[in-house]
Amino acid sequence: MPFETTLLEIGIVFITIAVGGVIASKTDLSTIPIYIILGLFLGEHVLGRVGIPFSEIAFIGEGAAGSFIEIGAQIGIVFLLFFLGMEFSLRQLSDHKSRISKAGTIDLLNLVVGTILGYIILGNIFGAIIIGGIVYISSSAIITKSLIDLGWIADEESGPILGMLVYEDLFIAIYLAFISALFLGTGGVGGLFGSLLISGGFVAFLVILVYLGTDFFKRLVSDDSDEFTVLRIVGVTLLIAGAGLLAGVSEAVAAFVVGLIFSETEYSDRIEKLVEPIRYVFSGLFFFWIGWTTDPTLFVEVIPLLSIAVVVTGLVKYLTSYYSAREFYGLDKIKSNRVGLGMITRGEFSLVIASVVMSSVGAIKFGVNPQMINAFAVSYVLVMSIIGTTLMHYSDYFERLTGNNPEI
Amino acid sequence: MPVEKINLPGVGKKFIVEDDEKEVIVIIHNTGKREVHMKKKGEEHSEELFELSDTQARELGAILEGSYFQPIAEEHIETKLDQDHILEWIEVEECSELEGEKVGELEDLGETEIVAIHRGDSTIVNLEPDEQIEKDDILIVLEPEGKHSDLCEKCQV
Repeated sequence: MPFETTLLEIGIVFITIAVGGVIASKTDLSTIPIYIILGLFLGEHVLGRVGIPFSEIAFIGEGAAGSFIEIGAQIGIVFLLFFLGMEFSLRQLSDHKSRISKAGTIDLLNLVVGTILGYIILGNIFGAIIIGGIVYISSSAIITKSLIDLGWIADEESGPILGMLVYEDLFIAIYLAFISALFLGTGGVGGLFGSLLISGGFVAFLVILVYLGTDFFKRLVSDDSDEFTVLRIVGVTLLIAGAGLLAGVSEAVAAFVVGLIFSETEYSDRIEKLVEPIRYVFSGLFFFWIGWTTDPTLFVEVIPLLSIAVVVTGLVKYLTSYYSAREFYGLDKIKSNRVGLGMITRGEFSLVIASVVMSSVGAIKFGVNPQMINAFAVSYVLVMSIIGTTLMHYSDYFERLTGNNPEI
Repeated sequence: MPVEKINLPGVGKKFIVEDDEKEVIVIIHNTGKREVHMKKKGEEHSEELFELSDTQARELGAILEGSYFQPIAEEHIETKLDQDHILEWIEVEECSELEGEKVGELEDLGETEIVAIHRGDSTIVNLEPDEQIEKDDILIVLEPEGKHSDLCEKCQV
């Protein structure tokens, strides 16, 4: 495709994402699955193959626009994780420490079940660990939005749901550090120790930076000018994320730590306000990219794994969450049912895990097929996000099933 | 009145004020938006009553608090200023011992302080010690929370 069309292609990408946003708000669906589906259609695997008129313009290929989408998606991951770090607060975790950690630990059963399931079907322990992570982590973004939309946020069921999400978010940062060390490093089980050492060293370096550099970070963001401040935040974040990738800890983990550091300054509200629009732009691009890069014909191959995973992990998530709400939060059946249904939705972080595997050379050496993992993650998130939000909308039906007496 | 405060990670904070019949639930989003829900006792789920922007919420808060109209004659009023201090309105009419006393000569005030006197349609601030308390005055008194001074004991506030 000639050079002059690059800007037009990028325009088409963003207008498509914007239209996706409109569709989401009109249909009460969440944005993530819609962005993915749109990306899927505009990618080489769908629009790239049909010969309809004008499709040549709308199909976004591997050219300059393609590189832009890819890099943009990477920036999207950085800012998704940056915000996770920003919003993550150890104080909130310690508020109801014992309840959250009990519920969060029970929740880890989903990781175990997912890993076992992955091993049975793939016969590969490394692929199994990835499947475990993908099916473990619920979607903070979609679930929190649903809680607000449905008004559950005012009721007691929001306590265990948000509590477990906080625990999962912390766990996933550690998990990402682990799998990046595994896959981004030099590869080979022998090299694992070495890469864990390097990535551990990088994270330790960042932690030291938190202690010694808080003043520096504070000065960085205390400028009155929005222009200077936002440039500095973006600059520092991308620089450290890039260095993180180079050191083998993945841009995601590095960005999470940078977010944590910024949240310790007293300007966290201002930083969030300034960076939020940037996150919207690039995380939209990330969800688009993950669909764009997926070959839907691979969906056929993952159908067995997908269908078993949807049923089993949906059910296990429901049961562990229901149990924790009953046992540790003392909620009645109706509310615990809502907690169970509320946790089923999976989303952004399942995709981040898949994209870390996709971008790594090491994965193939371990016998993991990144394209397959990606196809599984995309189809799994599409199904689980739609099922999860739908179940939340129709929770009343399940309430009748669990019996009308809330006292039991 | 106990107010329960709950953190909502990633969303904001939730406050619950409850009495025998209902719970009023206020959610303050990090964005500044307020949501007010109500849950009647015995019901399973709350119902959203309304949403307000930050500015609207402040305005409504001021109205509820009585900034524009205080029905003072109706009953005893106090406003909590912070953790340690409350403002009280004392009607001299119901506490005749105060009538005719000078502000500077009242004994055993302790940490309690008369900050203003509401008389007729006006409010006297920057009180002089020899200001005499009149029959229809309303005293506006600042006092430490939980430590009632003699002044307030006498008037059974």
